Amino acid sequence: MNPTVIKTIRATARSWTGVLSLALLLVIAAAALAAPVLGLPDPADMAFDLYQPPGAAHWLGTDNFGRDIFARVVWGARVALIVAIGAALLSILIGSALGAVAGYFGGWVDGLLSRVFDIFLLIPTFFLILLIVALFGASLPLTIVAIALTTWPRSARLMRSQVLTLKSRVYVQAALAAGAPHWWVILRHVIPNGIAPIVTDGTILMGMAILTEAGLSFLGLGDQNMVSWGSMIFEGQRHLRLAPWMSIAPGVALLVLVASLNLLGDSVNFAMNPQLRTRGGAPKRRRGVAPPADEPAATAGAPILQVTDLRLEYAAGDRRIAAVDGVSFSLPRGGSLGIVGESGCGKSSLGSALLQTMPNNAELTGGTIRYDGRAIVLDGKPVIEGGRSRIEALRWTRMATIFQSAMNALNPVTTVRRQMVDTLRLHRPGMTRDEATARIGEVFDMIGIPRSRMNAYPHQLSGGMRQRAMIALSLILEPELVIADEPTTALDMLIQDQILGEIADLRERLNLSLILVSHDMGAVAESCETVAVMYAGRIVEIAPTRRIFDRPAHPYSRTLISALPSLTGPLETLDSLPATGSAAAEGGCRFAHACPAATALCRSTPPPAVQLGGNHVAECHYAEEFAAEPVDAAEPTATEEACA
Amino acid sequence: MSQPILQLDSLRMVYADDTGLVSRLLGRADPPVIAADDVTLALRPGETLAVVGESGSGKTTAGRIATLQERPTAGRVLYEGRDVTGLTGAALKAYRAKVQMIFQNPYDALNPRLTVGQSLAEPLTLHGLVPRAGLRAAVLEMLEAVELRPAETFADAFPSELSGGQLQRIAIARALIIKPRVVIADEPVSMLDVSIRSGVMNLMRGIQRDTGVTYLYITHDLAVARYMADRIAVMYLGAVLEEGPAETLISAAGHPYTRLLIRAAPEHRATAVKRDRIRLPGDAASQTGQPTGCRFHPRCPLAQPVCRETAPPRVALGEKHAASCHFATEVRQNGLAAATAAAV
Amino acid sequence: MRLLRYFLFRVLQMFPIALFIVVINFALIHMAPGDVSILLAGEGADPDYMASVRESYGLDKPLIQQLGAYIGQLLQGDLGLSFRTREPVIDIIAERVPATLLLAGTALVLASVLGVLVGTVMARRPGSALDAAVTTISISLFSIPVFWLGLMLILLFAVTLRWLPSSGMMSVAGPREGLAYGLDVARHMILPVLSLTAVWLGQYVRLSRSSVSETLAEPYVTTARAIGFSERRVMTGFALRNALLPIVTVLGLELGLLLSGAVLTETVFSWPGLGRLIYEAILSRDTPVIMGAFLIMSFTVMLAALLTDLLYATLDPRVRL
Repeated sequence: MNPTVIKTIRATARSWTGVLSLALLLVIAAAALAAPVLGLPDPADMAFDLYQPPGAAHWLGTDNFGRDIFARVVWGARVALIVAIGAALLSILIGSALGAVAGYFGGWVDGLLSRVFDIFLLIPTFFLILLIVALFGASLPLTIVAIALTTWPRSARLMRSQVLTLKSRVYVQAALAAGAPHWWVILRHVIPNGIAPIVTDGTILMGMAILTEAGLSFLGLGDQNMVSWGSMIFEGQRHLRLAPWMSIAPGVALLVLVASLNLLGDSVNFAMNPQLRTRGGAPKRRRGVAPPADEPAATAGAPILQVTDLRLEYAAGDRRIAAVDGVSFSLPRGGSLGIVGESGCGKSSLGSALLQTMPNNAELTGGTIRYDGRAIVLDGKPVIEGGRSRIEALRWTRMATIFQSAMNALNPVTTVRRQMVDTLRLHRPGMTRDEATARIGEVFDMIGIPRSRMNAYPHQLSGGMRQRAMIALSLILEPELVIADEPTTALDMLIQDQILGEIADLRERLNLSLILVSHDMGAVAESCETVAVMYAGRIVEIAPTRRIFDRPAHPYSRTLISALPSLTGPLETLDSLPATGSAAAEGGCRFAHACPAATALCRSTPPPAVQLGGNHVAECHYAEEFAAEPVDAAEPTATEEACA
Repeated sequence: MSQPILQLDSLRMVYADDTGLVSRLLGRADPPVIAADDVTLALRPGETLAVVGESGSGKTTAGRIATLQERPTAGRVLYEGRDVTGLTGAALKAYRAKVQMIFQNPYDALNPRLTVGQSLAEPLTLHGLVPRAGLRAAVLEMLEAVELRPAETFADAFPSELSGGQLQRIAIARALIIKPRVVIADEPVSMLDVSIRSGVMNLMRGIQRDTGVTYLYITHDLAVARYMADRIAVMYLGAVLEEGPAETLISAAGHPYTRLLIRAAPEHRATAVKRDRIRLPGDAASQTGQPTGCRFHPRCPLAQPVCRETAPPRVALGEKHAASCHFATEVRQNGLAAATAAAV
Repeated sequence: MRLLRYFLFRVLQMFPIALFIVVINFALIHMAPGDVSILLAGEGADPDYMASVRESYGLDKPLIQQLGAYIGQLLQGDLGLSFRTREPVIDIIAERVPATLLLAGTALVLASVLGVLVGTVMARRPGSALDAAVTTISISLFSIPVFWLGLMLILLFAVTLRWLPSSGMMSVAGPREGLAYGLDVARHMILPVLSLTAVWLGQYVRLSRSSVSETLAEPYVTTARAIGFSERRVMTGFALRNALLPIVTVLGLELGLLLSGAVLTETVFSWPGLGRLIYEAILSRDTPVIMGAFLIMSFTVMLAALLTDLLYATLDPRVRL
């Protein structure tokens, strides 16, 4: 079976609400199915013991005609389930078909059908059902059809949006490009991948259908020939004072059934998207520590940032993943450090740890961060001084960040100016609005944004302008250190180059210290004096920029450098890592599983940090050998041989 | 010179926003988006033509039209000299067996509910190329060809169990399994990690050497284009600005835009000296309001009055090398700096 | 000015919907078993009235002209006469609207404000035991049949404890003006408002919990925290402000659904509003009243959707005005 289906079932089975609701549903369904053979009294059988309270003879008592309420509740489950399944199925069938057509074919078909869905959503459906049942007479099949008639747009809209996303999926496009006919694509690719949320929503629909039928019956519009919980309450209402048990039992049954359906839908939904449950949240309160007693006073020569053995872990379910696993570096005042690595290497986690803005499921588990010689994190805990954590005093006034994807890094519902004024006035409380605006104008001029764009909302700016606005926001309080996390990703080449140039200019003019986090060796090569290469949570090599490019001492850095095609240099075959590495080995070098030069030693022993002189350190058993040969003379790798 | 296998002839693609009657009455309709304005490209058998441009340049649209996933508003697609623009039904299916596509996002390339083997067998089944009994063997052979070994294990894996590089190799295998003559590759490595990227590019080059397949390689990265392609076409705002043999185009570009792109590419080998940057006027291009005259003039450091008024002609600069710029010859000889000095 | 244009645009869009609703109503009357004139005039109506109904609705003319006549009648505000009282339906409905507005409005404000508050607090601690408990409780709350909850509240607070009145909007011999009158109505309101609020609350808690937690994971919230804004300002200025957008949308979309709860609640508590009117009309097969109520409800929901759209447009600068 497909792994995602198995995962969903397992995750549902792990949540107690999922298990409980499923168990309750099974019991109710079993009771409803077995009602005729349970040996219960006939639910329509009238007897002389009227208004009997619950007791041994009648577990839930009797009603005004002496009928056994327990039997009626069990028989009522049949009606509830018939209505639920019938209405939900009908609604999903009509809805998915029309929704799929609208989403898949788009154009005027979609325009017309979407309009119809909208209209149906705007009609107060319960009243429409009321009207239909009142005009056509009450019967169970009619009720089911009437309910489905009003709920199908919900399934249709859901299916439509599913299909709209699926349609742009590469595998759907690829199937079409491969020559597959529409019906093939819909049946094989679209429906199997789009149906899950619709089925989940089916449980909600079932709940809605049951409540609607109960409401109709309660208004006296139920099928007179069937035992329905709604009509039991309808009758019980008139005898509320005399025989309250008449209304209590069917109501509890309704509540249990509908709640089970809704809870089951909810559990399955969460099982399919586990991040829904834990995403977001306010920052965790982390226990702080007092500053060390023997802390030296800040000296002029101290590095602006010094990180020692920093560790950051993510909690993912029961597992803990070390995203940053013992990272150390130091950045001199006015210096620039590029942190390079591929997705998942921990470079962005490291960036967020420096400003303590990591998400809630991440935690510093060790290491020290010193700013200007003073510890802001000690053994992974924030340093608190005078009731306030030290990082708070540094935030944005001395240490700011430029986030990636400025589209979402700026508040979409306020103007750029407003966000900057708020930032200024937060840290400079005495500042007037006019002074703030003047300061914003200065920064805008410096970065090359026309002042007229100040009152724009983020979505009104182009990608490049938005990124510039983000840079302006980070510089507005004249910080000493800026951490730029992929500041030019997703921008076009010319704009990207312009912005990197502007960052470099600003750095020179304002004597900024810079940490540039990037996946792009090229961007870092030109903007930074020192480059650190990260792999699997560690800095595997750090060296002055020229040095690391000329004589990389770690095979991973060598791959990163020689895997990039050159635009103006000689044209040569690129190195690459093999497509299928073995699993990462426990205990040895982290890169051994993909390393073209790995030996038995690499697989068994973690490499030491080899000092190569001139601030060049690499974590590789063979660092000295590698550093001795320039990068262009590297031996061919497995891939290249295969191609030749 | 051999006959082109695939030609795009003066393609134009306009997306009119399909707004309702009411919004049109109130004058709220969006201006139409011109995704391709005048695209003419020719692919020769066995070669790789790279189409380079930024987002909104129309490079992806050109690729989608070449595979007939979209039909152009105007212009023709020619396959081996025959007009295929309006193909439908069986003829379209036959065309698709010859012209395949590789997409950008590998993480989305495979149906998550099917095994890799099932996904790879699909094109074979669709075109009835291999009897049912031979499907497995054909799939395994193709997996070997894209270096996913052991092939048995990969054939039975689900996409969620594989890495981006592996997924893209499978996507390439799916495109090639029916032995097409042309493959349109839309940024096939841009979402992959650098160390994985080169492996996929090398794989594509190796397959071309072995099978003689023709590539239309769409990318935003000139260095990648140079590595992959024999010829490069540079697109901007829906039109080809310059076209020429890869090495010629990079060493002696005749269009200021090409020159700027070359300058903007960060040189990762630190031996290069720090480049000077020219502060460009204007902002990123917009596809809705096409400028008059030369489409690049609002951002061009060399723009003259004539550029604002007259659309530049296509200037031939050498064998198979041409650029659409009033000053193409000067730019080719002097580059940007010299030309800037001359213009000021 | 821009807002006005947007408003006009949306009003124009409402016309086809209104027409559609009228056509549905018309179609249902004609598809229903029995004579149309009896459905419109009521069984046992005197022949003169029956004749005037035939005349004004053009019942002997082709269907399309009948539809025209029907729309013409509606445009004049003529929804026909009630079978029971022989009063114009429009007047009967107008008389009942304030009571429904009072009940449903109070419950809606309470449920949405409380729901957003609780949801926001829960979104701050996602995955905690409290969050899980509140989620389960919210789901259970909107799984309760509202009329049954009303009955149970009556049983507890009116029958057993005798703290509060069980039905009506005011005491039979109570005051009819001043503060005392207000207090009397308020006492009568407590139980129906409580049932409605409880059932609606679950929806709003769930909705705002997911909406706020979604915005809290947005990069601009991280920016705000990195800048050093206090958690309170991050919550109000960044998270809640953006989270309100989907909440407002759903609020408008689900109003029709909410109204059904109001009808059932009014029935249980004999609250003299539209819902009670519909119930009475159903019992006495008073079709003109049921149809009139359906039309009025539909137009109310449309109007509410329009207002929600406007509210959304003022909240979100990205909406193109």
